[in-house]
Amino acid sequence: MIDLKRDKEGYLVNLSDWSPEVATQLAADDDVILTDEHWEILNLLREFYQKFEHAPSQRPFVKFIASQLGKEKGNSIYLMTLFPGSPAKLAARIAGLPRPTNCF
Amino acid sequence: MATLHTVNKTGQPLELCLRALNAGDNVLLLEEGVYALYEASDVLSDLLKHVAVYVLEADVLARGMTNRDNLDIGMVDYQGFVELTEANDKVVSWF
Amino acid sequence: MSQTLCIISTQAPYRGQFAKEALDAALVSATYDIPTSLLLMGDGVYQILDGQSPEQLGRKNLSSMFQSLELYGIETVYVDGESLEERNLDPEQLLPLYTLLEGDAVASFLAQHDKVLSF
Repeated sequence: MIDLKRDKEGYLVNLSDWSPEVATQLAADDDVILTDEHWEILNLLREFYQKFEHAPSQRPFVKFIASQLGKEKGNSIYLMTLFPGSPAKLAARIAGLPRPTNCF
Repeated sequence: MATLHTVNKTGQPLELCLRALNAGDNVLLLEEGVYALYEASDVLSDLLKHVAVYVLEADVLARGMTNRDNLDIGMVDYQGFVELTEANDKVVSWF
Repeated sequence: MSQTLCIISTQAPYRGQFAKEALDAALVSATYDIPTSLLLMGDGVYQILDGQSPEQLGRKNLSSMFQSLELYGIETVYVDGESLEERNLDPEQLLPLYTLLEGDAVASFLAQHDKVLSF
Protein backbone atom coordinates (compact mmCIF):
# COMPACT_ATOMS: atom_id res chain seq x y z
CA MET A 1 0.00 0.00 0.00
CA ILE A 2 1.27 3.44 -0.93
CA ASP A 3 0.70 6.04 1.77
CA LEU A 4 -1.36 8.84 0.21
CA LYS A 5 -2.57 12.20 1.42
CA ARG A 6 -6.25 12.43 0.54
CA ASP A 7 -8.93 14.98 1.30
CA LYS A 8 -12.24 14.30 3.08
CA GLU A 9 -13.84 13.05 -0.11
CA GLY A 10 -10.92 10.86 -1.05
CA TYR A 11 -9.32 13.04 -3.73
CA LEU A 12 -5.53 13.22 -3.80
CA VAL A 13 -4.16 16.29 -2.06
CA ASN A 14 -1.02 16.30 -4.21
CA LEU A 15 -1.93 15.54 -7.80
CA SER A 16 1.72 14.64 -8.46
CA ASP A 17 1.35 11.60 -6.15
CA TRP A 18 -0.65 9.89 -8.88
CA SER A 19 0.64 6.89 -10.81
CA PRO A 20 -1.11 3.91 -12.40
CA GLU A 21 -0.38 1.91 -9.23
CA VAL A 22 -1.96 4.65 -7.15
CA ALA A 23 -5.00 4.52 -9.43
CA THR A 24 -5.37 0.80 -8.83
CA GLN A 25 -5.26 1.39 -5.10
CA LEU A 26 -7.73 4.30 -5.23
CA ALA A 27 -10.07 2.19 -7.36
CA ALA A 28 -9.90 -0.71 -4.92
CA ASP A 29 -11.10 1.61 -2.15
CA ASP A 30 -14.26 2.11 -4.20
CA ASP A 31 -14.53 -1.60 -5.06
CA VAL A 32 -13.57 -1.03 -8.68
CA ILE A 33 -11.12 -3.36 -10.41
CA LEU A 34 -9.52 -1.53 -13.30
CA THR A 35 -9.76 -3.14 -16.74
CA ASP A 36 -8.56 -1.89 -20.13
CA GLU A 37 -12.00 -0.34 -20.61
CA HIS A 38 -11.56 1.65 -17.39
CA TRP A 39 -8.11 2.77 -18.42
CA GLU A 40 -9.33 3.99 -21.77
CA ILE A 41 -11.75 6.31 -19.98
CA LEU A 42 -9.28 7.32 -17.25
CA ASN A 43 -6.69 8.28 -19.86
CA LEU A 44 -9.27 10.36 -21.70
CA LEU A 45 -10.25 12.06 -18.46
CA ARG A 46 -6.64 12.97 -17.77
CA GLU A 47 -6.40 14.25 -21.32
CA PHE A 48 -9.51 16.40 -20.75
CA TYR A 49 -7.92 17.84 -17.63
CA GLN A 50 -4.68 18.63 -19.48
CA LYS A 51 -6.52 20.26 -22.32
CA PHE A 52 -9.26 22.18 -20.51
CA GLU A 53 -7.71 22.80 -17.06
CA HIS A 54 -10.57 21.36 -15.03
CA ALA A 55 -12.19 18.05 -14.19
CA PRO A 56 -15.53 17.89 -16.01
CA SER A 57 -18.99 17.03 -14.79
CA GLN A 58 -20.64 14.06 -16.45
CA ARG A 59 -22.31 15.58 -19.48
CA PRO A 60 -19.37 17.43 -21.03
CA PHE A 61 -17.19 14.42 -20.32
CA VAL A 62 -19.64 12.10 -22.10
CA LYS A 63 -19.61 14.49 -25.05
CA PHE A 64 -15.83 14.49 -25.04
CA ILE A 65 -15.70 10.67 -24.96
CA ALA A 66 -18.17 10.52 -27.84
CA SER A 67 -15.99 12.85 -29.88
CA GLN A 68 -12.92 10.68 -29.25
CA LEU A 69 -14.26 7.11 -29.14
CA GLY A 70 -17.71 7.33 -30.73
CA LYS A 71 -21.23 7.04 -29.36
CA GLU A 72 -20.97 3.40 -28.22
CA LYS A 73 -18.71 4.55 -25.42
CA GLY A 74 -19.68 8.20 -25.30
CA ASN A 75 -22.88 7.73 -23.33
CA SER A 76 -23.89 7.90 -19.68
CA ILE A 77 -24.87 4.25 -19.36
CA TYR A 78 -21.46 3.02 -20.47
CA LEU A 79 -19.81 5.40 -18.02
CA MET A 80 -22.13 4.29 -15.20
CA THR A 81 -21.30 0.64 -15.87
CA LEU A 82 -17.59 1.27 -15.46
CA PHE A 83 -17.80 3.85 -12.68
CA PRO A 84 -21.04 3.24 -10.76
CA GLY A 85 -22.79 5.90 -8.70
CA SER A 86 -21.40 9.30 -9.70
CA PRO A 87 -19.12 8.46 -12.64
CA ALA A 88 -17.63 11.94 -13.03
CA LYS A 89 -16.58 12.11 -9.40
CA LEU A 90 -15.44 8.49 -9.09
CA ALA A 91 -13.42 8.58 -12.31
CA ALA A 92 -11.83 11.91 -11.33
CA ARG A 93 -10.86 10.44 -7.96
CA ILE A 94 -9.25 7.38 -9.52
CA ALA A 95 -7.57 9.43 -12.25
CA GLY A 96 -5.90 11.55 -9.57
CA LEU A 97 -7.70 14.75 -10.53
CA PRO A 98 -9.38 17.32 -8.29
CA ARG A 99 -13.09 17.07 -7.59
CA PRO A 100 -15.11 18.14 -10.64
CA THR A 101 -15.82 21.84 -10.08
CA ASN A 102 -19.28 21.83 -11.51
CA CYS A 103 -20.60 18.69 -9.85
CA PHE A 104 -22.68 18.91 -6.71
CA MET B 1 -38.46 44.55 -19.01
CA ALA B 2 -36.67 47.36 -17.21
CA THR B 3 -33.25 46.86 -15.68
CA LEU B 4 -31.60 48.56 -12.72
CA HIS B 5 -27.92 49.20 -13.40
CA THR B 6 -25.74 49.88 -10.38
CA VAL B 7 -22.42 51.60 -11.07
CA ASN B 8 -19.84 51.71 -8.29
CA LYS B 9 -16.96 53.43 -10.06
CA THR B 10 -16.45 55.92 -12.88
CA GLY B 11 -14.23 54.82 -15.81
CA GLN B 12 -14.85 51.36 -17.23
CA PRO B 13 -17.91 50.48 -15.12
CA LEU B 14 -19.74 53.66 -16.11
CA GLU B 15 -18.72 53.38 -19.77
CA LEU B 16 -19.83 49.77 -20.08
CA CYS B 17 -23.09 50.59 -18.35
CA LEU B 18 -23.81 53.35 -20.90
CA ARG B 19 -23.40 50.80 -23.68
CA ALA B 20 -25.84 48.40 -22.09
CA LEU B 21 -28.74 50.78 -21.39
CA ASN B 22 -32.19 50.51 -22.89
CA ALA B 23 -34.79 53.28 -22.73
CA GLY B 24 -36.76 53.01 -19.50
CA ASP B 25 -33.88 51.50 -17.49
CA ASN B 26 -32.77 52.93 -14.15
CA VAL B 27 -29.21 53.78 -13.17
CA LEU B 28 -28.05 53.98 -9.57
CA LEU B 29 -24.64 55.50 -8.81
CA LEU B 30 -23.10 54.21 -5.62
CA GLU B 31 -19.75 54.03 -3.83
CA GLU B 32 -17.10 55.70 -6.06
CA GLY B 33 -19.69 55.84 -8.83
CA VAL B 34 -21.10 59.00 -7.24
CA TYR B 35 -18.04 60.92 -8.45
CA ALA B 36 -19.75 60.80 -11.85
CA LEU B 37 -21.77 63.78 -10.59
CA TYR B 38 -18.68 65.92 -11.23
CA GLU B 39 -16.50 63.81 -13.52
CA ALA B 40 -19.24 62.82 -15.93
CA SER B 41 -21.75 65.57 -15.44
CA ASP B 42 -22.15 66.08 -19.24
CA VAL B 43 -22.60 62.38 -19.82
CA LEU B 44 -25.23 62.23 -17.10
CA SER B 45 -27.24 65.16 -18.39
CA ASP B 46 -27.34 63.46 -21.81
CA LEU B 47 -28.26 60.18 -20.23
CA LEU B 48 -31.15 61.71 -18.31
CA LYS B 49 -33.03 62.20 -21.59
CA HIS B 50 -33.50 58.42 -21.82
CA VAL B 51 -33.27 56.88 -18.38
CA ALA B 52 -33.73 57.82 -14.74
CA VAL B 53 -30.56 58.26 -12.71
CA TYR B 54 -30.29 57.96 -8.93
CA VAL B 55 -27.50 58.33 -6.42
CA LEU B 56 -27.17 56.60 -3.08
CA GLU B 57 -27.45 59.21 -0.35
CA ALA B 58 -25.00 57.66 2.13
CA ASP B 59 -22.25 57.47 -0.50
CA VAL B 60 -22.86 61.03 -1.73
CA LEU B 61 -22.79 62.49 1.77
CA ALA B 62 -19.77 60.45 2.85
CA ARG B 63 -17.70 61.79 -0.04
CA GLY B 64 -18.77 65.42 0.23
CA MET B 65 -20.42 65.36 -3.17
CA THR B 66 -23.29 67.65 -4.08
CA ASN B 67 -25.56 68.03 -7.06
CA ARG B 68 -23.38 70.97 -8.10
CA ASP B 69 -24.53 71.00 -11.71
CA ASN B 70 -28.26 70.73 -10.91
CA LEU B 71 -28.77 67.45 -12.68
CA ASP B 72 -32.26 66.03 -12.67
CA ILE B 73 -31.29 63.04 -10.57
CA GLY B 74 -32.98 61.34 -7.66
CA MET B 75 -31.38 60.74 -4.27
CA VAL B 76 -32.28 57.46 -2.59
CA ASP B 77 -31.50 55.97 0.81
CA TYR B 78 -31.04 52.22 1.36
CA GLN B 79 -34.81 51.75 1.52
CA GLY B 80 -35.06 53.49 -1.85
CA PHE B 81 -32.35 51.20 -3.22
CA VAL B 82 -34.45 48.19 -2.23
CA GLU B 83 -37.54 49.73 -3.84
CA LEU B 84 -35.63 50.33 -7.08
CA THR B 85 -34.52 46.71 -7.04
CA GLU B 86 -38.11 45.59 -6.65
CA ALA B 87 -39.39 47.91 -9.35
CA ASN B 88 -37.07 46.47 -11.99
CA ASP B 89 -37.07 43.02 -13.59
CA LYS B 90 -33.38 42.49 -13.08
CA VAL B 91 -30.30 44.14 -11.66
CA VAL B 92 -26.92 44.39 -13.37
CA SER B 93 -23.97 45.60 -11.36
CA TRP B 94 -21.09 47.34 -13.09
CA PHE B 95 -17.89 47.42 -11.09
CA MET C 1 -39.46 27.68 -20.88
CA SER C 2 -36.47 27.96 -18.63
CA GLN C 3 -35.14 31.40 -17.69
CA THR C 4 -32.16 32.64 -19.66
CA LEU C 5 -29.00 33.84 -17.99
CA CYS C 6 -26.38 36.24 -19.26
CA ILE C 7 -23.02 36.27 -17.50
CA ILE C 8 -21.07 39.47 -18.09
CA SER C 9 -17.34 39.26 -17.55
CA THR C 10 -15.58 42.64 -17.51
CA GLN C 11 -12.22 42.08 -15.84
CA ALA C 12 -8.84 41.13 -17.31
CA PRO C 13 -8.06 37.40 -17.11
CA TYR C 14 -5.60 37.22 -14.21
CA ARG C 15 -7.01 40.09 -12.16
CA GLY C 16 -8.10 38.29 -9.01
CA GLN C 17 -10.51 35.41 -9.60
CA PHE C 18 -13.20 37.34 -11.49
CA ALA C 19 -12.68 35.77 -14.91
CA LYS C 20 -12.33 32.27 -13.50
CA GLU C 21 -15.47 32.67 -11.43
CA ALA C 22 -17.45 33.93 -14.41
CA LEU C 23 -16.39 30.83 -16.35
CA ASP C 24 -17.22 28.53 -13.44
CA ALA C 25 -20.64 30.15 -13.15
CA ALA C 26 -21.24 29.64 -16.88
CA LEU C 27 -20.24 25.97 -16.68
CA VAL C 28 -22.46 25.32 -13.67
CA SER C 29 -25.42 27.12 -15.18
CA ALA C 30 -25.06 25.24 -18.48
CA THR C 31 -24.69 21.95 -16.61
CA TYR C 32 -28.12 22.63 -15.10
CA ASP C 33 -29.65 23.19 -18.54
CA ILE C 34 -30.09 26.92 -18.06
CA PRO C 35 -29.71 28.64 -21.44
CA THR C 36 -26.53 30.57 -20.72
CA SER C 37 -24.70 33.32 -22.60
CA LEU C 38 -21.27 34.59 -21.71
CA LEU C 39 -20.57 38.21 -22.67
CA LEU C 40 -17.10 39.75 -22.55
CA MET C 41 -16.87 43.52 -22.21
CA GLY C 42 -14.18 46.04 -21.27
CA ASP C 43 -10.95 44.38 -20.11
CA GLY C 44 -12.89 41.10 -20.15
CA VAL C 45 -12.12 40.81 -23.87
CA TYR C 46 -8.47 40.07 -22.98
CA GLN C 47 -9.69 36.72 -21.66
CA ILE C 48 -9.83 35.27 -25.17
CA LEU C 49 -6.52 36.68 -26.38
CA ASP C 50 -4.70 33.75 -27.99
CA GLY C 51 -1.37 32.51 -26.64
CA GLN C 52 -1.92 32.92 -22.89
CA SER C 53 0.70 31.02 -20.84
CA PRO C 54 0.07 31.78 -17.17
CA GLU C 55 2.22 28.89 -15.89
CA GLN C 56 4.75 31.21 -14.24
CA LEU C 57 1.93 32.86 -12.34
CA GLY C 58 0.85 29.45 -11.14
CA ARG C 59 -2.61 30.09 -12.55
CA LYS C 60 -5.01 28.04 -14.65
CA ASN C 61 -4.95 28.81 -18.34
CA LEU C 62 -8.29 30.49 -18.90
CA SER C 63 -8.16 30.14 -22.67
CA SER C 64 -8.11 26.36 -22.17
CA MET C 65 -11.29 26.61 -20.13
CA PHE C 66 -12.91 28.69 -22.88
CA GLN C 67 -12.23 25.87 -25.35
CA SER C 68 -14.34 23.53 -23.22
CA LEU C 69 -17.48 25.70 -23.29
CA GLU C 70 -18.75 23.95 -26.40
CA LEU C 71 -18.83 20.62 -24.57
CA TYR C 72 -21.15 22.27 -22.06
CA GLY C 73 -23.48 23.41 -24.81
CA ILE C 74 -22.24 27.01 -24.87
CA GLU C 75 -21.54 27.29 -28.58
CA THR C 76 -20.17 30.82 -28.68
CA VAL C 77 -18.91 33.64 -26.49
CA TYR C 78 -20.29 37.12 -27.13
CA VAL C 79 -17.85 39.99 -27.37
CA ASP C 80 -18.50 43.73 -27.31
CA GLY C 81 -16.97 45.05 -30.54
CA GLU C 82 -16.35 48.52 -29.13
CA SER C 83 -14.23 47.06 -26.34
CA LEU C 84 -12.04 45.33 -28.97
CA GLU C 85 -11.59 48.56 -30.89
CA GLU C 86 -10.72 50.58 -27.80
CA ARG C 87 -7.96 48.07 -27.06
CA ASN C 88 -6.62 47.86 -30.62
CA LEU C 89 -7.32 44.15 -30.79
CA ASP C 90 -7.56 42.42 -34.17
CA PRO C 91 -9.94 39.51 -34.59
CA GLU C 92 -6.99 37.29 -35.62
CA GLN C 93 -5.43 37.72 -32.18
CA LEU C 94 -8.41 36.15 -30.47
CA LEU C 95 -9.47 32.55 -29.98
CA PRO C 96 -11.90 31.80 -32.81
CA LEU C 97 -14.87 31.01 -30.60
CA TYR C 98 -16.72 34.30 -30.33
CA THR C 99 -19.54 36.30 -31.88
CA LEU C 100 -19.22 40.07 -32.16
CA LEU C 101 -21.91 42.39 -30.87
CA GLU C 102 -21.63 45.72 -32.63
CA GLY C 103 -23.11 49.09 -31.68
CA ASP C 104 -26.49 48.91 -29.95
CA ALA C 105 -26.50 45.13 -30.07
CA VAL C 106 -25.17 44.86 -26.51
CA ALA C 107 -28.14 46.66 -24.99
CA SER C 108 -30.73 44.63 -26.87
CA PHE C 109 -28.78 41.44 -26.20
CA LEU C 110 -28.97 42.06 -22.45
CA ALA C 111 -32.66 42.92 -22.67
CA GLN C 112 -33.28 39.46 -24.18
CA HIS C 113 -32.10 37.70 -21.02
CA ASP C 114 -34.15 37.13 -17.88
CA LYS C 115 -31.26 37.30 -15.45
CA VAL C 116 -27.83 38.85 -15.52
CA LEU C 117 -24.79 38.15 -13.36
CA SER C 118 -21.67 40.26 -13.60
CA PHE C 119 -18.12 39.38 -12.70
